[in-house]
Amino acid sequence: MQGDVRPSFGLDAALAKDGYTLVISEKGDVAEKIALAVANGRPTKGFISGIPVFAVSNQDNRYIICAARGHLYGVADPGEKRSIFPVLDLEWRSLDRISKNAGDARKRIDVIGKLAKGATSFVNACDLDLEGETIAANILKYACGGAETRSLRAKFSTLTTENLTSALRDARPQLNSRLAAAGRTRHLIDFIYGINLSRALSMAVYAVRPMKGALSIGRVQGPTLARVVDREVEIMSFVPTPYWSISLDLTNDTGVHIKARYLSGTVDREARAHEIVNKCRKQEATITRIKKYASQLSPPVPFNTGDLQREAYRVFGYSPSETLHLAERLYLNALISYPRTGSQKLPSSLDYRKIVTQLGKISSYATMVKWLLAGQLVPHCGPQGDPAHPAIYPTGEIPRKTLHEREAKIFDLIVSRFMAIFGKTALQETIEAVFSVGVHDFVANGSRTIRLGWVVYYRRYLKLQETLLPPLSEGEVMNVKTVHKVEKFQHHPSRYTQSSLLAAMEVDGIGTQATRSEIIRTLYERQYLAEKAMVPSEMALAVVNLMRTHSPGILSVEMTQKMEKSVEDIRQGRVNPKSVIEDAIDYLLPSMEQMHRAQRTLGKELARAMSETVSSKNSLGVCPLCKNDSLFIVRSKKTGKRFVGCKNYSKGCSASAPLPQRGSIIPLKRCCKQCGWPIMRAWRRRRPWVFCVNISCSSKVDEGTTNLSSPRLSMAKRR
Amino acid sequence: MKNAKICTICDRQRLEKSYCTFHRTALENLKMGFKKWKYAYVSVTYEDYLLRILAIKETGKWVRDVALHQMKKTEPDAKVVSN
Repeated sequence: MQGDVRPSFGLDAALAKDGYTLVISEKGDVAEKIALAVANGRPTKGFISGIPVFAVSNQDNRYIICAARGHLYGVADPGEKRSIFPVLDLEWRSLDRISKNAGDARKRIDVIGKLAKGATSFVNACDLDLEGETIAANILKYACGGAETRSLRAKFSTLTTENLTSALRDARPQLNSRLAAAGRTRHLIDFIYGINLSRALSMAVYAVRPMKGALSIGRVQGPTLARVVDREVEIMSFVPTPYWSISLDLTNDTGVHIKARYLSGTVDREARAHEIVNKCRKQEATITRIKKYASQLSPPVPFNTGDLQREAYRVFGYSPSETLHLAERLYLNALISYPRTGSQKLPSSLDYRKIVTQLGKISSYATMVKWLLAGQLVPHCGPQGDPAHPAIYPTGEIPRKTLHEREAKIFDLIVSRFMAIFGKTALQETIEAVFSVGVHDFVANGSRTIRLGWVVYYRRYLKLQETLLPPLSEGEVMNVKTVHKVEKFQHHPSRYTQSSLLAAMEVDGIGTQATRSEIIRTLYERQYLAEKAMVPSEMALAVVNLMRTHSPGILSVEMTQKMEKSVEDIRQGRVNPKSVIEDAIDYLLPSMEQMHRAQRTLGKELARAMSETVSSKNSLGVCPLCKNDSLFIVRSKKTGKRFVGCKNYSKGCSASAPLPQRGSIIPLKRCCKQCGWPIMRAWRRRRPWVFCVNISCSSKVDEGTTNLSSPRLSMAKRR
Repeated sequence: MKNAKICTICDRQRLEKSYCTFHRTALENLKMGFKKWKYAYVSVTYEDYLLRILAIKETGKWVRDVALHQMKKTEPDAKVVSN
């Protein structure tokens, strides 16, 4: 049973005696969980320079537990000038020396350094993956005076008391630091690619036209963006081809009606479609074949990160990065195992019965748990494995407080999936009836569920389709009531969604479970993508088009795959990190030279695309006064304030409207029904509100106020 | 008067002939598409094809641009039909 942490001033006493073990975790919540799990009684919590530190005694051992906050060190360019490239001499620096937004990184480094002086041993309790290992390796190396070679490794996949206690008890020396070397190498390569390519693009623009804002491209970002742009090119250059679908309405004397479609599929010539229709009209159709077959639906496999992100997008519409964030919250509450994993397997050592029994204490699962416990619990696992962590599973811990709505949904999805993997195979019967009209065959399909199996545990998220056919027998004759011929046109391919792009990245083997959703989010932040449907901006089209012309290698999936493989080889001890970095540089430099040679061409086109992207982002469409496509968001050069104005101002159009000066605003690409002015959405303090920009809009006059007021005022008015 | 190195339809740079890479791709698809349409309808003319392509919602934007441009180029007096 976990207790509560009491803030205490007893930390000084604990630190007064040397000879403790310093435990370093990746996050503050994990440090607290470790302290609570290991404590004999309640842990002592204190603060050094405002950073929380836990002191714990366990039998003969004394632990001091302190947390980083993600990375405390990063790769940096030691040079001062941002216009110089290629940058190949890099160094690791504390975050406060790299960025102004480093938070309390300096304080944490100082505190950990101070604690390290009295420590006799060190335990690395960061996440057991490439990033976690890199975080710990850097802290132990730079803040703890080179302690990375003599530290112990605590390995855990859940934050349950049981798991954390055994992880700390069984912490073993890390005989090699291949994982850390792989992580550090990945950071170096990504930095080398990111900084040099981004500087090359930005400097090309700057050489032509000094503009605000920088362009960025990276080793994973490039091929990912290229995928989206290639799809956009397909859509924008799509020419629909015609085809015809033919179907029959069949009926018999007993009043049975059936719709059957042409068995060969669609018809690609109009004349042929006419011919089929003419031959079937007012004819009889004989049932020549009835085929029944049972199809099995195997239980799903446990979630890995990508599967969870895709499923959450499908059923809830959550973005991959949001799903990962919510799953991490659940992990930090010890409700699920570590969510950054590629594995679809569960270890046989896991006590499934205990977990399922525990879940039965949650009333909504009680009945399903009874059904599950009545049989044997053998999980249906998938093919993918991960050496560091198993698939995502619920720990069996009951939420101690009410979960946030979104967290609760993800938790339910994970629990439902976990129960479903123990279910029996679902069975469906499919019936296929073939109707012959002369030489032309038509087919009607029906299906019904024979056994729900695992679907009962997952039915909130999956419904089996059922189509019932009336009783039919072979040789039966039916009348063709109507023949339908419909001219159709092929559809263009769909745009990527965040979910399908994530799946494509997985198939391509670019990025990692932990980084893929971040890459997608970055593409949005850099204004390469807009809207939920992932529409690439003009800037994205230009960057990909120009890179493909001048440095095609940078966008190639093969290059990124090769780098990922090299990082994996470092992890396996098959290759030296230095040679991997040298190879990466050798691959990069010729591309940089080509880009440098074409600097002016690149610069002109990129500058145009950047301007167009900004102007498209600020465009509000048709001006309600002059009726030209000229209304847009302007920032006053004199006052710096933003407002809505018309490009035809100099020609006498006086359309203008004020805008909220704080928070972000987005045009919604639709107009007010009352006055025809554009509608926008604004955020302030994370609260969105939608408003018509026209301050004299009749709706506002009726209400006696303007919607430009903050949401707080609107709420006060409602009250 | 447009810059000589700019696509005749948009403001992108052109690499060869009169179109940028994207409108060039659209033109190639438009030409390929006509072969498929002729197979499907037999008696369709290129002008009819362009008119019908413009009326279909699924047609890509760059294809529309090129189709309109071709119609203007070949028949200066033709009535331009857009969706």
